[in-house]
Amino acid sequence: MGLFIVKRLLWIFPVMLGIAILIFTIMYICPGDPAAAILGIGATQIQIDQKRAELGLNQPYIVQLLQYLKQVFLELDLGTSYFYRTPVIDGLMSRMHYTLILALTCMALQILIGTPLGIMAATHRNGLADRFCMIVALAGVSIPGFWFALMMVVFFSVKLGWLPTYGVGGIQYYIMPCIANSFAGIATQARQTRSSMLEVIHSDYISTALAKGLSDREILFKHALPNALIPIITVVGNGMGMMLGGAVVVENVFSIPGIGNYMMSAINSRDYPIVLGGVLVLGIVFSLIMLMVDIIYAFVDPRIRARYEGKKRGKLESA
Amino acid sequence: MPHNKSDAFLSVQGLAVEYSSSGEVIHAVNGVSFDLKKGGTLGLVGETGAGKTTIAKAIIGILPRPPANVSAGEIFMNGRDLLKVDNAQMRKVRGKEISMIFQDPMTALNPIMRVGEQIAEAIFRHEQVTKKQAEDKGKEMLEMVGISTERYREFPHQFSGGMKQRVVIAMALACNPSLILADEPTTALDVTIQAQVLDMIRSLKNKYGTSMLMITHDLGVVAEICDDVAVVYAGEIVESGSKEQIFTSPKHPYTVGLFKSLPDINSDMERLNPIDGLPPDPSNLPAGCSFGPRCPNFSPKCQDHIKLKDAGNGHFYRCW
Repeated sequence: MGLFIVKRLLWIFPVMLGIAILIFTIMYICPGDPAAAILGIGATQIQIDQKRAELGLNQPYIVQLLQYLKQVFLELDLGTSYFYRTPVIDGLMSRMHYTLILALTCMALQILIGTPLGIMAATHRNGLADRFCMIVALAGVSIPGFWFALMMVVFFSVKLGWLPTYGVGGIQYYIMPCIANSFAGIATQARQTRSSMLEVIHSDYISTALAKGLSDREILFKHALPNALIPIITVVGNGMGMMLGGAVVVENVFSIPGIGNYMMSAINSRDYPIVLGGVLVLGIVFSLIMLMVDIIYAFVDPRIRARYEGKKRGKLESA
Repeated sequence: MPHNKSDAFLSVQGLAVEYSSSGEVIHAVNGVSFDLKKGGTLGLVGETGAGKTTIAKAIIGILPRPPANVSAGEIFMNGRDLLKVDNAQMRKVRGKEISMIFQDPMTALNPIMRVGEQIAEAIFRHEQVTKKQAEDKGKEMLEMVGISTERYREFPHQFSGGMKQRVVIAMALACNPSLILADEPTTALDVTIQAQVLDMIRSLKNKYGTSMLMITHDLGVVAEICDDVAVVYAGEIVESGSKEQIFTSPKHPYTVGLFKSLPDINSDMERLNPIDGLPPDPSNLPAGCSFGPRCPNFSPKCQDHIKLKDAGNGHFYRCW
């Protein structure tokens, strides 16, 4: 298991390299000029050219790319913001906790609400509870998060005045952003839980458990759910990716000063180092989460554990 | 089939089970009656889809409802009608008084639970024991089916098919049931392993005096292990009697056809002799004899309802 984790951690580097090349290229192709953005509308072409030379933007694509990769992967430096003139890493780290709070809360909501909804739907298949859960889930996957966020603002803040419309502070500031960002995740989680529970409920070992005289509760929690968890865990991992991505949108709607907000304004002002640095940091976070998902897999499913350990049968006692 | 309730340990009377799916009703079991003597073994023989497994699941009460529904019949075990027992009481019967060995050991075990725990679970459920005692008893059961106790904490994927079936058997026997429903226990196994598993089932059954319903489509298994045989066709028993009666003088054309289709190692035969045609669609059974459309002796009177005929000494068949 230890070896597996080390291997997976090492794999993060090539993944990061791929992300860096991809994002750098996309930003390079994108129209817009950072130099012009920094200098403002009044700048002359000469000033702009000077600025471009200063930022190294007049170099050919391949030289710029290699320079950036060297700076990030060899010097472990994400660079300095064109606009703020502060190190990108500081800007990201000072905003990180807002994004993480948002994403992790949403994650928790997805698991704690979506899973029971799915179980309820599966155990009451075609009943009222099932119909209700599936309608909520359908709404969840269909409604775009940003639109839902705006509608909540209109209703709860503007009409009722219950919740603040934007900013950060106490827990009340996080209620709407979290609901908006986790609704789709809850829905996906409920649907996946339902279908994977239904599949498991019809498998032979559930008949075996029934034939042993176990109660419905025991069958559900000892036999059905642990097996159904395996595909559910995948959804949780992917969900985390969606939450991080969704945070970028939701932070902007609610003006939460997290990484998403930071990156969004950087995209508008063509502040390449921030965009690239933000994506890389989120990429590392996501890779670590996927690693955790794989470790949880191994914890749940002994077959996967055996594969990770690469041992012959009969050597699993210590696992 | 005439019967005497007091003398039979298990007596199934007029059992009918239907499955309904999207408005269509599938008549899986249509008025099946049979008796099983204490300590005896009855073979339920028939093709895939004849309703054998449904009969077993109805007895142990694990038919999925919906879509399945027991529309008629009684199942007496020791004089008690199991179909009238409520679910909570029935849970105490399952695994304790009646247990079931499933067809496919590959899927019958929970893949993410240690095999020992799966055995101990049934023991802990039914006997007044601590977890530790249940574990000890579980280990004992493993040894009884010839698996080392060291493997108690292993997972199903670490076992071969034959060993998994032994685990399933250990699980079924763990609480010393008085009735075992063996649903094609050797079908999914290699021929060499089949013999081993059958031997083990027989010796354990004899050791504990357990009664057994052996569901199979393999006449070889019947010859090996059963006392009595009931031949099932399209959810109906078409012939029943002692093994000797059925094997030496089959009366029903379907039974005759089954024996004819067996290859004979002594004859110089080039092709098998199958029964022509296919079993009828259970959602649309023919009137009268359901074997009629495939029967070589078909005559118009076969379209009427056919009663069981007595061939003497407990040998019955459903034909003219």
